[in-house]
Amino acid sequence: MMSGISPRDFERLSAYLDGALDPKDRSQFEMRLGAEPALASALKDLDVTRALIRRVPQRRAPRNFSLTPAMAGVEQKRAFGGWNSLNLVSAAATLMLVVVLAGDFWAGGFLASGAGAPAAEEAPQAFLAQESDMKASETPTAGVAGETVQETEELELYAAPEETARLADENAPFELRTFILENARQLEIGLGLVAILTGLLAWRSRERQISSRS
Amino acid sequence: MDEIQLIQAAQQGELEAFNHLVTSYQGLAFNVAYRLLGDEASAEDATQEAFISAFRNLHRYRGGSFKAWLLRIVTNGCYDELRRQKRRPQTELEPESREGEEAAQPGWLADPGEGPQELAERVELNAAIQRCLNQLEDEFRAAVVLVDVQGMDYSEAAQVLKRPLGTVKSRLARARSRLQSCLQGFTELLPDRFRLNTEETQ
Repeated sequence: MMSGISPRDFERLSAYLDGALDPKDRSQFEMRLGAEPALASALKDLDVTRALIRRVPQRRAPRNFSLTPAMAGVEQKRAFGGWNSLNLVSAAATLMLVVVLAGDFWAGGFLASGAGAPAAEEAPQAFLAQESDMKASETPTAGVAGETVQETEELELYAAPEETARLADENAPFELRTFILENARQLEIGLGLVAILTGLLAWRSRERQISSRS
Repeated sequence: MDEIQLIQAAQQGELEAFNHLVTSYQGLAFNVAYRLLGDEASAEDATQEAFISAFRNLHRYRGGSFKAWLLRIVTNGCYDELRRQKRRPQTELEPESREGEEAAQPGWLADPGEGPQELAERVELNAAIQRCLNQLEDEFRAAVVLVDVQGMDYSEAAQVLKRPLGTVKSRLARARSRLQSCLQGFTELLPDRFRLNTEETQ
């Protein structure tokens, strides 16, 4: 503290320098400054000190202090919201891909093995016809024709239900496969549409999450 | 976007908007922290912590000077750090010259138009001022840093320090008085125009 200057006067000096005295106090203080050389000298010194402090340079920020999401604590929340939607879409898309590929594989395998599907349908009948022809040609003599005819009729009577059953058994999967083959394209289109709709729903739900946060 | 819009967006969680505010105020915040703590590394930490705290507490900002609100967070963080340092005093690792001045001269102070002699004197003078600042009580130092170093007016400084205007005025006067006494110990460093009047008459 300056000698001869009271703390109260020093406070007034400081405020006077900063223009922080109200007009009445200011004019009174200016009168005192004119009358008291010690006060005027103290004012000069304080002005010098203040100017010196104000010369202190401003330092440049050593780095950028911008916050990362992790610093701000928002990363977890945002990742969590988005992750749910992404999981949903990924799971749905994967499931649909598996279904479509399995369908393609099954249908494709069937097509490959049954490149002659219509021929395969004809095969049993052709086989039966060929078999009866062979049996007929094996008949040794006309003398035993009666027996042979009887045998053939018996054979046919006997064989017919077996073949019918066999044909019925084979026809069942054929109908299912045929159904899938005929509707494979529609099924794929259907699954694709469901995948697109699921994706749109997930996107919309994520947008809602973002807009509710902001 | 103006400052109010940025603050509103940041209050709604927009980190990008808040980072625009960080860019605007990081220099000021760092300088206040540096002058209060007197150490760059601590000031860096305090500045970063202050911005994190500001983002997390933005919902508490109720208008008025954002600068003052932010600097209050900075100064409070610095007070906490100073209290922590007082509880656990640390030994200076930086070597000092015989005169007690910092031996290292930071490169940021370099001025291309300045000769080595002037540079050395200026660096020493700045170090002397910082030493005198460091000797002040925390709240006195805050008043002088805000008003004299950062050029704030009394009412803005009062908002930052959350003290009545009269208290700021009185603390500032006492801080200046103590700085004046302290700087008299570094007369040889002061340029002629900064030599004190009382010194010439003594």
